Amino acid sequence: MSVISIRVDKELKEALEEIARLKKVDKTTLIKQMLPEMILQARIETAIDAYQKGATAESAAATANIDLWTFLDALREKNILHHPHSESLYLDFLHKHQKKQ
Amino acid sequence: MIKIDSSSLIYLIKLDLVDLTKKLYSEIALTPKIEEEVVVKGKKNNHTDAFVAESLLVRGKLSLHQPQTALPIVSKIHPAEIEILYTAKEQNCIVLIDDLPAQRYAISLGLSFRTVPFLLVELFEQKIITSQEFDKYFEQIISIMNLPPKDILYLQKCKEVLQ
Repeated sequence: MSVISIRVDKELKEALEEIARLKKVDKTTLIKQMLPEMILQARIETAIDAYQKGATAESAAATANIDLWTFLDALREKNILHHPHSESLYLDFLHKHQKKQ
Repeated sequence: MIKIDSSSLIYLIKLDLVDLTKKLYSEIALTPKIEEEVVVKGKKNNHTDAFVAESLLVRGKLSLHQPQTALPIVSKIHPAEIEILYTAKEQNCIVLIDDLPAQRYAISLGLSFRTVPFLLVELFEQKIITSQEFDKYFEQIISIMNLPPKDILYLQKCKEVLQ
């Protein structure tokens, strides 16, 4: 186990104490419980940023060190539009079939 | 035969389109890096469908191909995608890939590619699915993949010309 210490403002300290009271745990336990989810969310945000800047889903997930299943689920949950697919597939198909008609 | 990348495989499993894709292409093949991304990492994080992917491999519904050549490193494209693109090139077969940067790279390698939404058009064209089934999968694809409006319009146009 490593020890980290952080300085927080009064409002944040009081909010942590309030939630710790409600959950009937001490502040340290509360922070330890919250950190993994906060880290995952930070990783997801990093991956989404890379995806929106043009990386493939696989590459974006790897950049943020999350698995692809988690990332694709997050894209759906956060309503992030899929990259548009290449138009050439559709255009070639439509061209071929419109010529037939 | 069609080679498949990690995202496309995940979407095929989520959409329950593996068997129908096999009807179109006889064989769906992946590479060790794709297996690592979808099966190994997915199972490690307890994604239920990763176990489905493993079962599809064990039952021979998906096959595993080893790359024969050294692979380059390409910015913004994952090594697993590069691996699948180069094995597709080695065997001169079509590749099912999900993202535009990888699709552009496929074109630069002279490869033919498909996408999961476009499979739906092919399945309907080949009369493997009915119009009602097309509509059902269409709704699911829009929801699960969160497709952009342009893709949705193209899919509708493709269905219209086939009717």
